Amino acid sequence: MALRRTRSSSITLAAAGIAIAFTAAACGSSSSGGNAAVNSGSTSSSNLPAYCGGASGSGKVLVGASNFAENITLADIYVDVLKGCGYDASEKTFASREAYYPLVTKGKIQVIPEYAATLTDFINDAKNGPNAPSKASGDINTTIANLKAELPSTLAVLNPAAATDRNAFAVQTKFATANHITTLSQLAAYSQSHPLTLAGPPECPTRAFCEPGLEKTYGMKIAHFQQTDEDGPLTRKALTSGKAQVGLVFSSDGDLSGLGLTVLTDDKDLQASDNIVPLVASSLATGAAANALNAVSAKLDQATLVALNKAVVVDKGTSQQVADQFVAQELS
Amino acid sequence: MTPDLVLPAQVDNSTWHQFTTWFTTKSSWLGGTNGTAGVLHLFVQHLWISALSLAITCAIGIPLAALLSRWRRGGLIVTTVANGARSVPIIGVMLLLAIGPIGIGTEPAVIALVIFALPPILTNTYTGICEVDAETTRAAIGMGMTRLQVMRSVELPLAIPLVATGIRLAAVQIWATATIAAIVGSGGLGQLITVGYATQYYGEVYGGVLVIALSAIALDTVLKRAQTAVRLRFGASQSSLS
Repeated sequence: MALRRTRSSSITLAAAGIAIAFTAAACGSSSSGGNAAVNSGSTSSSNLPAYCGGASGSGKVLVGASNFAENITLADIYVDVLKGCGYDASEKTFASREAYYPLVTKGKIQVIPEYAATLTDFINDAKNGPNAPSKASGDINTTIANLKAELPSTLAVLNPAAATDRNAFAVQTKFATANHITTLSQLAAYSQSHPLTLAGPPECPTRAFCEPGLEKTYGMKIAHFQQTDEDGPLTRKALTSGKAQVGLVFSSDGDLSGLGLTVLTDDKDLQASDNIVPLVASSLATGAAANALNAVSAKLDQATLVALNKAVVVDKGTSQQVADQFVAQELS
Repeated sequence: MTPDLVLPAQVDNSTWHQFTTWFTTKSSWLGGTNGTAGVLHLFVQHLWISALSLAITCAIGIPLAALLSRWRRGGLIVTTVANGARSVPIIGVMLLLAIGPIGIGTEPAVIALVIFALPPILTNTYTGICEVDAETTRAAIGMGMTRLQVMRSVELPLAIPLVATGIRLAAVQIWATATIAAIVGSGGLGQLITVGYATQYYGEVYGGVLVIALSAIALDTVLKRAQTAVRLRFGASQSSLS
């Protein structure tokens, strides 16, 4: 349970989230200034940015976000491009999916940067009870198909990004380079002659996507489990000090490369496909909004998402600055 | 979210049922085949952390108290150190040491526990030495003993009953508090609580709490008896000396 995307327990990002929530609130009230460059020329459709796909939008759009840095940055990007296409877009942050999802279904919020697998399970659990078998898959296409099937007709999901924010396993970069390891399969092969110490939260030894998954899906040899925390400072310390060779983190963490850590590719799709995907009101499923948000998804690969998070969490840019920069560099 | 284990509706998943299941399952005590630690293994870890912490606390606290008892302002220092150590938030110290230079494992837990257990040993030893009858000390000096000999052969032996009280208090405090060592990855009985909580297997949490509480009470009882024996043994020598 706790091994899924429960950001509140991720100390680093939660702390950053608090700081950014404040910033975002400030930006929300005076966002016209921050977006002047993006907004310019949005009155005539011939001058619209290319990401609008030749269409223009109008009317109010409220973008919701969960209260952590990554999600707020994504929402800021969504607001920027929606404004660029002529919508009167604004943003509001919420404590959790439980808080905003009812408002999405009622049409009070029109756009949310979502996570495909977690959203699929959230709606599935709400419909079929908390013990219902998961409909999220390691394969993003299957997950999106299942998600579309269970969404109410008033809602739609657009194209998922390649970037994910999900459980992942990190090793020291110098260890990965020295042993030519980039995937979990390669680490599993290495572990046959060098059994590993795995660092993770207390529930890791009993959770299918943690230690048992590494052992069954990848055949990894884990000699010892070092109990630490969920993607927090203790896990980082265990890895950087060499107390553990591999540890559980999140795939989009922005601080890992700075610590000399590398996330290995989950080449057998052990983790559910928590790709970033825009959840929108059906009225926005076609036209300028859909074109713009799909253009954002197309640019969001894993390295880009990690860079966005690093810019906010490590380099302490505001989410609005980082979002404006992303739109200016990647989409113009 | 995704359940790892889909429970049929008729399965009794109440905490009481979890607890009785946990308590009566062999692997809870001896460890699971998949390498999960049982009570026995965690008990040994807990014992090791506690014994090491107590030994280090004694090795620091008793000589320090003896040294300070020779100094006019020693009492003030003992009070300051003891009060300071008492007010330190042990969980914060443990976590800061773990993410800092010490690293995760047994070391941060032991260091934090030593800081935490220092006050009872320091104050009791200091009081014990200072309360030795001045006549006795003077008699020893009159017999030609050096300061060191007085400390070793007269004052410390006479202080033993109070030192023993300090050690007992420190030992029980350490045993009960070593529970939080599991948070920095040093294992011990506290791991029953962290793992039970993280996996929402609250029966294990209750089991862990029960094992820790009962073992702390048992430890206190045993140490009280030992302390009585010590008092009879050394209390007697005190009366023969004075």
